[in-house]
Amino acid sequence: MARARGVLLGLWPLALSLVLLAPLRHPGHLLSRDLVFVPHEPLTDAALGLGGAAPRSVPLDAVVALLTSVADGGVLGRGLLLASLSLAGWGVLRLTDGLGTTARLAASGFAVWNPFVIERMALGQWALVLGYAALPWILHAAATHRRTGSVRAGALAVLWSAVASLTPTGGVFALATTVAGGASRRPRSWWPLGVVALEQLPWIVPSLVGGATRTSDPTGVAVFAPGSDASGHPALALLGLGGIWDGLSVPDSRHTFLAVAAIAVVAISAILGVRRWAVLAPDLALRLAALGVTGLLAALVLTTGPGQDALRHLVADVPGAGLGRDGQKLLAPFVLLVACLFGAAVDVVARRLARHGVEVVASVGLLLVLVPVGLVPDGAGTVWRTVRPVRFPDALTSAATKIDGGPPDRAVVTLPWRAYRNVRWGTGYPSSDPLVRMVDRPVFTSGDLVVGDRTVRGESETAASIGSALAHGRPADVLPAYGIGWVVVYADDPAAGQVDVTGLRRVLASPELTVYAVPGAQAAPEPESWRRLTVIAADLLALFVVLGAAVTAMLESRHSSKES
Amino acid sequence: MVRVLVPALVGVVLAVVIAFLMVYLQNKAPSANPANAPILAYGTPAT
Repeated sequence: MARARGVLLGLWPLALSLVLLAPLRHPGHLLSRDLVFVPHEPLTDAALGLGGAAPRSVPLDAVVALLTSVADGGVLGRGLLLASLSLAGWGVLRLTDGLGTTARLAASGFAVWNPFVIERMALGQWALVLGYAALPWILHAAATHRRTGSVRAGALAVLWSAVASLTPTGGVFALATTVAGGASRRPRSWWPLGVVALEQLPWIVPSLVGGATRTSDPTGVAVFAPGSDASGHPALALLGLGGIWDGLSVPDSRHTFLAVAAIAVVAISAILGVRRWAVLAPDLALRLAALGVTGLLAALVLTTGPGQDALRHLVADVPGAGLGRDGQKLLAPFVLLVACLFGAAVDVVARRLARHGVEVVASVGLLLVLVPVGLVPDGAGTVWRTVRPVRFPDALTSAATKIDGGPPDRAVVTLPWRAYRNVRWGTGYPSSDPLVRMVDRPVFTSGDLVVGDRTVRGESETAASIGSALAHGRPADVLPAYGIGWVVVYADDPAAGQVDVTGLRRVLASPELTVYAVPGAQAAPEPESWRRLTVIAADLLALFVVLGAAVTAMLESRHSSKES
Repeated sequence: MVRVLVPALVGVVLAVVIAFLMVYLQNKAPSANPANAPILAYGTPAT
């Protein structure tokens, strides 16, 4: 009976995830906003963080590259997106073990369907959502290890932290959550934290030796600061679990009374649920509260002038501080906290109604379980426009094959010179350039992000130099010096006609793109051996740590099952 | 009495909300035309 109930409970977050990702049933690959899954991604220097750009998706790109060598990127992307959402709900189910069925349904549904998750998925940042989804698992495992000294629990905390640490932001979340869940006076409770710190090497080392400028453009602080909605102020939007910087990712309902209703639900959940949650999980309640409120306060600080000024100085002067410029993402632990409190509040209501009979509990419970969906009724539609797969034109594969078949030391430039593209065969929304991940050669695009009427400069000095050279000369004249052997012109770009291709040799033409060889190109400079060796050593160390944790968890599981 | 009234009330609320949403969504023009989005931009400020 208990097992059947557990399965049924697990189906609810899965069902909500399937609704949010319904367009994935269509054929094609994912390419919209930050969401890019190409059929096969080669393992390049850029994927390891040696491409000269800031390592924001390291080691994520390397892991995806390795996985696409065994599974097509279309299949992989579908699996990872579904896992990112479902794991959040299942993790909260684990944390709320002890609440009633209705309350756990409500909490797990809230973890999947809330403004934060919907806005981030609409921006295509599935890896951030995966990091958020790993938090309840890390917290639970770290706390179990602290209480019982279980080696298996410590290893599980390390494994879930590895999932979160696919991106630098997720890695910081993993470290904070391991501390929140596992910190105690006993020295033995600290070893998982040390191991989780080692898991951060794959992005820390490239950020130090990868060749990108270590500081970021301070313009990004204002551009990526939390945004407002119908609640009237970014701080209120954050309290309602929204407040993403990007207007295209904000559901329309956030511009209605529902933005205020979300704040009310958060407040009521906290008032009604806090005592029940503290009684149910006395060990975790305070720790999760500290983690969540810290994240909220950090995000709130970035809605203030002095907070933004301070971060602007940090971003301009302190290496790696650019990580904090998109402050709304720091809400992730707070969203987790609110999901648990919402479940506890529903539990309080269900218990009070119990004396009226099961009919009353069931009907009111149904209403409460649907509250998260009611707060963002257009959540699915907002996510759908990003996760709708598109059919990659054959020309992309042909271009990648052509370039990979050429000299090994020639880099690629895609033109017109942009960071993001809006291809005719895409979703209609801007996306990363797919060729960056399809070609086994360095691919240079502009690193400058245009947001509204402002431009945030990228961190790659090489890309900045190439962009400057292209602004002052013909590609055929200026590119050979940078080791650029190929130019790909996206033919459906409105500015494609302005690209001066004289002096270039056309080798492939299609309605979608044209590939040109650059005569006289020198060999492209490669990262120095010591940089590459240092980064690979850091990656291998982190990989051994993860494998070690996996083996330990398996052996300990077998050991404990034999004993029982 | 409560056993009858509350489930009925919840049913009415759900029915009204769902009916309203169905009609509303069918009659609502898209808030943003993707074709109007600045094609070179990574995003737009929220407000």
